[in-house]
Amino acid sequence: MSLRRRLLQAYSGRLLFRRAVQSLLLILILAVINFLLIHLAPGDPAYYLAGQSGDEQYLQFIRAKFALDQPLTTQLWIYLSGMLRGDFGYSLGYQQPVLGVIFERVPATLLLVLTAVSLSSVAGVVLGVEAARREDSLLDRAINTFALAGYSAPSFSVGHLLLIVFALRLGLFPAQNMSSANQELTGVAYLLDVLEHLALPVATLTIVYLAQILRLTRTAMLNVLGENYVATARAKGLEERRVLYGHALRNALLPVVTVVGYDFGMLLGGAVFVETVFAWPGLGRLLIDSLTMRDYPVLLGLFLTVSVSVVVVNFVTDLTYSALDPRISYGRRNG
Amino acid sequence: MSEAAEDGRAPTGRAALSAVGRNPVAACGVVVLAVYLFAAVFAGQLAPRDPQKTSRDSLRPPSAEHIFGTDDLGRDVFSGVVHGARVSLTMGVAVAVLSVLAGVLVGSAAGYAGGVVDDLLMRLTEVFIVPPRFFLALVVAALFGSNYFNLGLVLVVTYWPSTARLVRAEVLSLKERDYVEASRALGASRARILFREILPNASPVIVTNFVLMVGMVILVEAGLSFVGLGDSSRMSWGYMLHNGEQFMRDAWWTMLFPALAITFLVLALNAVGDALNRALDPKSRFTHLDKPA
Repeated sequence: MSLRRRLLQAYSGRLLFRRAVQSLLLILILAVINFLLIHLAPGDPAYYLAGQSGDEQYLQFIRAKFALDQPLTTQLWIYLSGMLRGDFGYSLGYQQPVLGVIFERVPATLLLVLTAVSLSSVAGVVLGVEAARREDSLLDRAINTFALAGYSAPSFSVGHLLLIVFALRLGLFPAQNMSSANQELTGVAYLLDVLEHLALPVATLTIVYLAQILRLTRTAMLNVLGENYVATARAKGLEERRVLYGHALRNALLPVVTVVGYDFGMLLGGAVFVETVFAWPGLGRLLIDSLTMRDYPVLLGLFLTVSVSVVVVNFVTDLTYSALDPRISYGRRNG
Repeated sequence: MSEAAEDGRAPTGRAALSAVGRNPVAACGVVVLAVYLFAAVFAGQLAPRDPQKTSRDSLRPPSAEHIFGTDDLGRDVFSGVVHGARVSLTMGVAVAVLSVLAGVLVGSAAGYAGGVVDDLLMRLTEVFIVPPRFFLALVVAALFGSNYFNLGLVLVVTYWPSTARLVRAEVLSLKERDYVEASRALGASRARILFREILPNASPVIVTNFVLMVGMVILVEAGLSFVGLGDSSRMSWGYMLHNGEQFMRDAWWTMLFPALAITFLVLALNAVGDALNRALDPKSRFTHLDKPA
């Protein structure tokens, strides 16, 4: 291994470390924002830490637990060290620790979001490349119009449209929930039942994200297609498909990966509108339920969880960057 | 496609306008925007009824008397749609103006000064980018009350960083151009160079960012009202959808018209924004504003 390469590697390792430290700092800042929101909100902070259903005795307990009579810095310390131990508070509404309430909803959201993000990423990238390669053709215009409409319509309206047409009018799919409540299903029958319920929410989310990813991919591809190395690849006599998907797309994907990563982190907090429209029992639905029930511990716990997932996913996105772009490296094998 | 002049200056306002005019979709967009603007300004005269006024004609389908039908409390849907334009446009434009102003200030200062100032300002920007905008808006609405002032403030706080990053990148590339160098050689002050040479040439990027942001803010505001966290003092499209959801099976008109109103307005804004984007250097940095789902 050459000295130059080793130096490069050490430097990249430090970069990786720096990004990790930055991410942790951001999480800390977000926790502090959470704390400040509770204290800046009008009224008694104990009320927000307890949730609406707390009685006077419970409020006293909360005041003692979070040392609300102490200076703000002491309170912040108690609040943060509680979180570090995994204590995100207790939900009176659900009679459970907040973290437990949140984790119960994770599988439903993961199923919905992972399916939709995979479908929309693959379809969005392929359609984006095909549109860019035939810029201004009829196909490009059709794809573009679809993307513009999908990007502009509110997600809940897309959901409502699918719901009214395919569930209420045609009766092809169930309209609400994740499984049929009136029958005890097990095994394959249960799986099929869930898939049936999954169809419309996934379709809605896929349409919304497909439009975004498609637009991004198309723009990024158009930018890249004029570059010299694409012309070189073509001049070498490479097959057009390999030029597009092998050479051009690899560079065009960079901005796309950033955005998909960011959106994915956000979606891990639940697809609020889609879950609301289809009564899908995920994190987004939990968010709205905790809002209506004024279950502040769950609400604030969710806000922090979502923020942390955004930070973590962004960190992973940065690492993906290094795999895609040979010029960026975070301590990988070669620089 | 590029309208950029020989010396690398940005296309003039007239060039950008003519680019919009040549694009049929964008030209339609401008007309649609004009219609919405007209509706927003003259809502009081155009709407046949007070959008909040209830009547005994509940859930009536569209007819000559109520062209978009009525909702469960007998309120006229058409009047609601017309007045909703006022709420959506005011919110969208106000938030976008303030965010873009803040973003231009921070972004141009960071890009032009460079060094420590740049580093500090960009770290600050990063902190504001991380909290998921829509979630923060929900939490603030729940804790502080959902009035237009609070909602607008949260959105400004979370939207300015996207402009700041864009403007910084633009200033960084513009400050190396020959005409800026020439102006510097002639002894122009730093402020003069920034405000007379650099920012005017960055303006197409800023305007595009602004147009697209108005659309996204309108979607976010409608979304907050849809989940029941909007300001209920005025009739808004999001509220109409929130209220109409329970009658979706039978009274489609309570949902369809507000949904179309939002979609066409945002569509028009995005079409114009896209056309402006294309009129720029094709290698321009694109604005991407995430849409809540």
